Amino acid sequence: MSNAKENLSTEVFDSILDVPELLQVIDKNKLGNILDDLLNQQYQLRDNHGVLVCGASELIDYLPVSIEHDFEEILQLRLAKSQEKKRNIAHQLLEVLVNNAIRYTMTSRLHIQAIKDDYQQLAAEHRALEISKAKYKALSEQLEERVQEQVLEIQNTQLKLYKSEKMSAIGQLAAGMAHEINNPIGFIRSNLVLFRDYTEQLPMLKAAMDTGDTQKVRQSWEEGQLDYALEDFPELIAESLEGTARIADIVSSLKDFSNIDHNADVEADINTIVTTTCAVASNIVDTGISIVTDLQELPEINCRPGLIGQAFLSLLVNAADAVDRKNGRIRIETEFQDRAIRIRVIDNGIGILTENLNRVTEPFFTTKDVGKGVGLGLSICQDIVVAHNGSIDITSQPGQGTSVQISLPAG
Amino acid sequence: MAEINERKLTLDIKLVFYGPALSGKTTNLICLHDLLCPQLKSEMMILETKNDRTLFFDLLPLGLRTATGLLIKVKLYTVPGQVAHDSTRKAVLSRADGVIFVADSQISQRHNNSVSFENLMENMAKVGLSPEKLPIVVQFNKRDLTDIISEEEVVRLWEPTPWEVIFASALRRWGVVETFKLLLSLVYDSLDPVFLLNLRHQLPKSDFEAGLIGNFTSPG
Repeated sequence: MSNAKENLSTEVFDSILDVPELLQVIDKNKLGNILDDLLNQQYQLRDNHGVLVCGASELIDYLPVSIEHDFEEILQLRLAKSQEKKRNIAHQLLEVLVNNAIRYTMTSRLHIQAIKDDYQQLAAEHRALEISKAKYKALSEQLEERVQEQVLEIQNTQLKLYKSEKMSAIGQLAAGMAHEINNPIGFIRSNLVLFRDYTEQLPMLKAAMDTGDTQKVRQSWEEGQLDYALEDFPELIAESLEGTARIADIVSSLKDFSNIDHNADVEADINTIVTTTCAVASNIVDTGISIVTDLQELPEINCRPGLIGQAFLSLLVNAADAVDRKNGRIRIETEFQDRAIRIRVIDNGIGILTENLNRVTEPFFTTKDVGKGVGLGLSICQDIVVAHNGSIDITSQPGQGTSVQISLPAG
Repeated sequence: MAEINERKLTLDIKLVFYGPALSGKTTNLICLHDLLCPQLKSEMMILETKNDRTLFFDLLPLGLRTATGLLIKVKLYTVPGQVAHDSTRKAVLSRADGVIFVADSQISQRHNNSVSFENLMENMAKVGLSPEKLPIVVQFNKRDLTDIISEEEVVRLWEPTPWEVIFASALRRWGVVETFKLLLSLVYDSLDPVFLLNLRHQLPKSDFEAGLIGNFTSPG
């Protein structure tokens, strides 16, 4: 504060003008030349401290002419008597000079003062801006962090959903499988119970036989209704064998399907994958839906069969969900053309609305009922196909059906 | 703030004409230059641009010498009214001993008047002048025009304030010396206790006013 006051008293534009400072503004040589000419060098110009500004070094008899500023003498012109006539003109000349010098000095001081002040104000504003800039920068850095945290969270959630989608597909599959295996097991079991009942009669028959009495043997045979047993046995055994064959089939296709779920690149036949997947899917697709395949000969390609199977299965499930449960038709075609393998799944289902067609491969886009999928099937399918450098094309007519074609490069 | 230079025996008094742009501050000064007959009067310094806009300041130095030999210099300054020149305005205002606020009476200028008066108060605070202590006279100029705020309204608006209002037309040369005289009276009252003008320098208020105003009789 004391500093500011000091500055104020020394630097303000209207502080008392010091003569030497004032004379700096005036070109003393030129002034001297002019006055020398005007006054024939018979003069002296002294400042208010008595210091000689210009003129003769010695002057004995002179007339003092005072040039004032602020009612005080600022310069004194000592004029030789011989030059008395030029007193007024010299006085006026010096007054004009001094006034202009004062004017110049005061305005330049004021200008500097105003500029300094403006600068200080700008500097203060600048500082304030810097502070707020730093604040916003910190905030934006934090924002970046927060956004990254949220992105990570979303990614984690997506990952979980991907997994859960896979799990739900497996669960669906497992439920279908359980049902399909349960059926033959049911009748095999009841056949076996019947078998057991018949065989429980055998000890009685043996006891009758041990007596050697044919009559008793016959009686025991009839009581045990073993005539029926003889009639039933081939059928029971054939039926049970067929049941076990069905179970063996299911287990075998499941084994194939799980076998190909190794995510290593291998040479594989797409038709085999399609067939296996169809076999698995047939267990979970309503029986009213017919699945027709038209598979042409394909070259083996280097792929991840598990993933291809998964992709194909989701197309199949989608088709099954789209068609009528009682008389829906799904047609599966494969072909090899123009160095590409094409797998088409064509259904006569409800189709896809035009406005949804571009969105069906978006993650989490679904038009299915709650609980029937979270909308990742086609998205994952596309990911898999793209990972194999292939592409997916979907064409659809609402109410007519949908055709999804996977193209994979081959050869 | 005024101060006595004991070595040179001088007392510098600074009076400032403040107010919005084009309210007639320079015209006031020219009018005073023409009408006043002070003991001592120096050349007026006008730094106007071609648009009648004051760029830095105008200066009219007046002076009087007391019987005791004290040279009293009264310097009348105007500030540039334009908003953009605030730093210049602040510099001119600093160390003022009295202020004449020249308001523009035109109805269209009411807003500019209040903005400028607020600016005066702000800048006074910045340069350390207290509105309670600094003598201020408010002049409503341009009373010769027609589309102006009525005297009744001006009085009603300014009555609650501690500042006296004077009506003037600097262009018609009336009210200007009265404004100046009122300010001189207030300034004398504020400086006399500090510098003992009457007691030490044998300068009663009447001599102070007369020495700076001279032979002036109000027209009408």
